[in-house]
Amino acid sequence: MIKRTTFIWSALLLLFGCQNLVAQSGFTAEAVAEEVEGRKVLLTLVLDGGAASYLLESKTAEEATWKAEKSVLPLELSKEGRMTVAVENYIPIQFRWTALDAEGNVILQSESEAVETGAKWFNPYRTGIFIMLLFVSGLILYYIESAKKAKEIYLRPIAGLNAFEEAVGRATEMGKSVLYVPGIMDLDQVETIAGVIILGHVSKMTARYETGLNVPVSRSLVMEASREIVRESYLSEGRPDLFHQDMVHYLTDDQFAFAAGVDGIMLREKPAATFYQGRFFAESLILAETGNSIGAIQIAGTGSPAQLPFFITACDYTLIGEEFFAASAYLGKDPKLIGSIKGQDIAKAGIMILIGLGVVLETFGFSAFRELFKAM
Amino acid sequence: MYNFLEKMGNVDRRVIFLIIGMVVLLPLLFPFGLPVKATKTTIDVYDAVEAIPDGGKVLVSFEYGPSTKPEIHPMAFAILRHLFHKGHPVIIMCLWPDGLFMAQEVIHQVAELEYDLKYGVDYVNLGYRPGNEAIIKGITRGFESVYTIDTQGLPLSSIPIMRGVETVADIDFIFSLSAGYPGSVEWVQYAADPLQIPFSSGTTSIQVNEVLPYVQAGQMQGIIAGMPAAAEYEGLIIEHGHFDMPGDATRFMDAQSIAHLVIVLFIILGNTAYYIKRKKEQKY
Amino acid sequence: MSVNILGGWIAAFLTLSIFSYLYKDNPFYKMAEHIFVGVSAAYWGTLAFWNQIVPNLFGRLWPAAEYSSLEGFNVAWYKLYHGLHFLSRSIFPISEDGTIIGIPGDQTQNLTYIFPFILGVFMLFRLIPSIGWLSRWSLAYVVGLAAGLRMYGYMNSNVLAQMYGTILPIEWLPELSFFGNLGNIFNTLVIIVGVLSGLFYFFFSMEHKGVFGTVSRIGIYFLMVSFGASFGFAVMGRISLLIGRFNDLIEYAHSQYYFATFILLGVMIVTLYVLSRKPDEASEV
Repeated sequence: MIKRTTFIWSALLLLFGCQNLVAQSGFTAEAVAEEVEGRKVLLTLVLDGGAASYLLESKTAEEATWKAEKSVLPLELSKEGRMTVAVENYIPIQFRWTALDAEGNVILQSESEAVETGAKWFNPYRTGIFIMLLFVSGLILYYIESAKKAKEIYLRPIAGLNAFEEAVGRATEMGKSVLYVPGIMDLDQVETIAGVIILGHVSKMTARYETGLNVPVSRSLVMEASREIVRESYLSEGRPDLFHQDMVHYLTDDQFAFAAGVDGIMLREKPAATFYQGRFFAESLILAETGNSIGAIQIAGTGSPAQLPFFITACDYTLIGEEFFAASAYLGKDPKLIGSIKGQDIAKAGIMILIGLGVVLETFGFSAFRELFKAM
Repeated sequence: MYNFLEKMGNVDRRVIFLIIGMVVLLPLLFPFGLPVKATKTTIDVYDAVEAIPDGGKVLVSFEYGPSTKPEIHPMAFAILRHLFHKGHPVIIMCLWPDGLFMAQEVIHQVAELEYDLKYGVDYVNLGYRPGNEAIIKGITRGFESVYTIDTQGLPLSSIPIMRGVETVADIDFIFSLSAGYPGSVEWVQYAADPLQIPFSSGTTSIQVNEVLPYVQAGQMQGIIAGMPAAAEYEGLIIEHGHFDMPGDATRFMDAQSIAHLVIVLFIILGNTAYYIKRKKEQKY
Repeated sequence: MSVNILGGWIAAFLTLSIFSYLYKDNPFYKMAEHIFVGVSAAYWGTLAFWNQIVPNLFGRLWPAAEYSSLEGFNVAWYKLYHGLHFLSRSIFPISEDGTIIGIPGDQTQNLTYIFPFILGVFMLFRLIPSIGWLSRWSLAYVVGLAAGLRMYGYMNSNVLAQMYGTILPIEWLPELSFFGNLGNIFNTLVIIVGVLSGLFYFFFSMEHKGVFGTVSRIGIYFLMVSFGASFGFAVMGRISLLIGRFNDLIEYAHSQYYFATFILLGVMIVTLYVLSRKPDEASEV
């Protein structure tokens, strides 16, 4: 999609908009300037022949002379001869390429038409992503609606999820508390949000079983959100008397200081169950290893692929990647969330089919299909 | 033998800590210089730096702090030595607050003491701005939307190196020294991919698997993966005459290699002991 | 120089205190842990206030301006600043001669920042239970903004670009040898099969039985191999960090630091030995 739009635009501009200068020995150059989005112009230099370097100059309508922008080497241009340049919005600007030989002599010059940028509602170069987003969002919305209409959606069992209640139950039997760490990142991370939602389910269990809950956090916003969700859980289970603010408490923003603090809590309080649900970095193994050494049942869940191996080795159960994001749907049995999982599955199937198709086409030499997925 | 292996499986973990401590400490005190051979991903970074056009401007972002200093700091030294030796103007910025102190240390050693470069002309330190990926997104719109002044309080418009650099699209190569979030992944997502700017990164070992898919898919030009790759890069710049002395990473490689060897032995012994124990339990 | 030596002693002491955790939980570790947590919390708090709130929020609402040049709405707006200056002179400064008013820096005024300012104040309303619900608006804003900001980045770099990287031709290249070609095709197949089967493992709305079960199992094998590689990298990273710490301890063991490492290590070993002989008291320290 991206390719085709670009092609049509370039062709139109070439036909109607460009000056074409012909110099010695059949060397031709055509300069095209297109608006990509606000404050950005895409320059294309279509060359027949070659040069040692180019001088790029610009001129606005109000300026009488050309102003040097930069010296450009051939390898700085993309394979298609493209380069983006930053400009001011709403000021028409023209570009001139001067091709130079190795001695610095001018081979030829080519000017583009004036181009004006402005804030835009739609960037045609990102049409592919837009369609993909519409496709995925549409699927998810459709299946949410289906799930709401009480259509039964099958979900395969996930081993770690059944262990949630078992772990809280064990802590209750032993008269010890439950430790829950919702990652070390802020609320702007999707893993943290998932971690806080799962905390809602775990705190319902601790309220039901009258078990102590300890939630150390490393960000102030996460503390607020977690307190809110834990309080609601205790209210919904009819045990507001058991809830107190300090269940969720802030330690520090610093990664390893937070790890040291949580380690200290583990060593001194010796919780019977520990949950690590959120986004983790290098502290993951430090936490999981300490939890392991005190003999707690450990359940981890994260979308950070780099941290999964440590949780898998040191914890009893680990929710891997998307299992972790799906966990709240499994635990809450909310049709909206279950529907969204089905929608995501279909989107994944679509992606798999596209990859398979792409491999076949690429093998037979049709590379235009693959180009549709090039990042923009 | 079986009994010995079984005992090994039940050994106190403090004994293992002590052995690892010793095998790390001894080669540091008595180095013996094991050879270091560059891997493809490190060579790709070297080649990408070599491919920057003469005089091309490079953005180096510091995204690490004291906790990961031993891994990333040697990379920072090596990459800046390479860039300065090739005469590239370098724009330095930090997405981590501690990154500023790391950057200052490297700049003082490399730019001031070793190359005697001119601030504002050959390099500039824009410093730290909070906002994580929003800062990267910001400089794709314009450096001045995020940085009005540099670390010395100079307005960007008055700094010679920043002339002609309005947005990150005017940069010829980006290098991120990354220890987590925000770091390499955010640079790929918000600058390198959308603007198609050549990008490479030096990361902590722990991050490598997370970043490697971007290298595989061609979104990054190689990766310096942890301290061993830093040693490889130090070797490459010496081999090609960009610098003449091995750095810290090379010095630490003996300890690293021996420790790896001992850990591999522990893994084999541990698994054998576990296997024997399980066999015995099945028997009875 | 003496500050450097003191710094070396503190660094060596804190490093050894944290290492002592490998032996067992003890007063040295507890002390180092509490210092670490306390200092870092204060550091991050200070950093956020002076680097974020003051220049990026107050600095954009009330940038430094010449008092005499203020006109229209700004005259009243900067009167409010006068009030804030009365509350804190260091956060809201006015030049000594009273001619320059506002937060120093190179910011330009942007009154749209009043919205984040209001959302920030809403967060503080948590302290007043009757209007504490307003803080949910701020949380909702952060969550919504993050979702929108990330959607494009993830879709572009983690979906489309990764699809681009996986769509690879299975082809016989004339420039490669027979075995080179076999290796190349094998690598391509590993990538394609790994991605497809790995994706399949994360299908939740389908029972993993029969052929689907096999594909999903292949997927989990791929994941496990990648986790193994990650683990290897992690060990490498941890050893690198340990080397870094040991390198510093070796430096502090030199005569210029008055053998800080040796002396502190000795003191700690003796103290731990003494404490271990009185286990009950030790655990209460």
